[in-house]
Amino acid sequence: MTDAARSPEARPEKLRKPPARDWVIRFAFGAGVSALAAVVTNVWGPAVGGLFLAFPAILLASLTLVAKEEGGHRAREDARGAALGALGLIGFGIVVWATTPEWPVWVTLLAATTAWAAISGAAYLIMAAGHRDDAGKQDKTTAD
Amino acid sequence: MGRTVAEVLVKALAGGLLVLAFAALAQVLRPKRFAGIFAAAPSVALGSLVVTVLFTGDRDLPAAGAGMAVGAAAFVVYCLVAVPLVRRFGAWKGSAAALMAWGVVSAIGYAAVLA
Repeated sequence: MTDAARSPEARPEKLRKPPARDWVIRFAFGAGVSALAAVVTNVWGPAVGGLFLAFPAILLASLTLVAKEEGGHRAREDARGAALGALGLIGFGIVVWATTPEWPVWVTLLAATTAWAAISGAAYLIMAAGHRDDAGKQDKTTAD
Repeated sequence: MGRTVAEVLVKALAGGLLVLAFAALAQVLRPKRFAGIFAAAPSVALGSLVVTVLFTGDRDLPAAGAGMAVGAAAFVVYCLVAVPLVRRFGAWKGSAAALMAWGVVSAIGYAAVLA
């Protein structure tokens, strides 16, 4: 079975693997993008600032760190997964746009986060099922 | 002015901490493609929007949400472009070069949808 077709699992022991410097880099990228989005919002307004709430700088940091520690193949898998997460981010933005101010803010943010998780998760399951089908056909062809 | 600076600093702190939280989730999850979903988690968005509401209320949220939806569509394109660029130029140069795709798609999306 290909790596992409495997069922998701958690390995808590992996949390100890990255050096402290990697966490500092991730925090710095997150803080930097948040500050950039805040400054852009103050200067050009919330719609332009909103663009930067989906700025991929954190993925840039992640790809670089993953490539260094786990290799280029893993980094490209990270980018493919992030594409599914970004699909979910579109849903997050649409829920915030469509439900404010009709819904209480906390309900809006909870619904938006749920939409992100549901869209990203569904996209992953569809993609993984496609990989399993392809792997099954290849196995059958090999057996024939 | 002081209030604006404080808002930027609190957003930076909140965004940084939420990025760390989602990065920790991505670190323990396998396979890597599933974990990659959390590299595009709404960490910066959640931190920024919560702080915005605390400082100025919710009047900017619809515009920020619409802008974010356009930025996220550009993010999808960024990821698709980044895969071959990372293979060809390496992680740092390839992913940095893909930022141009995000910028172009965001600008087109802004002009077409938000302006």
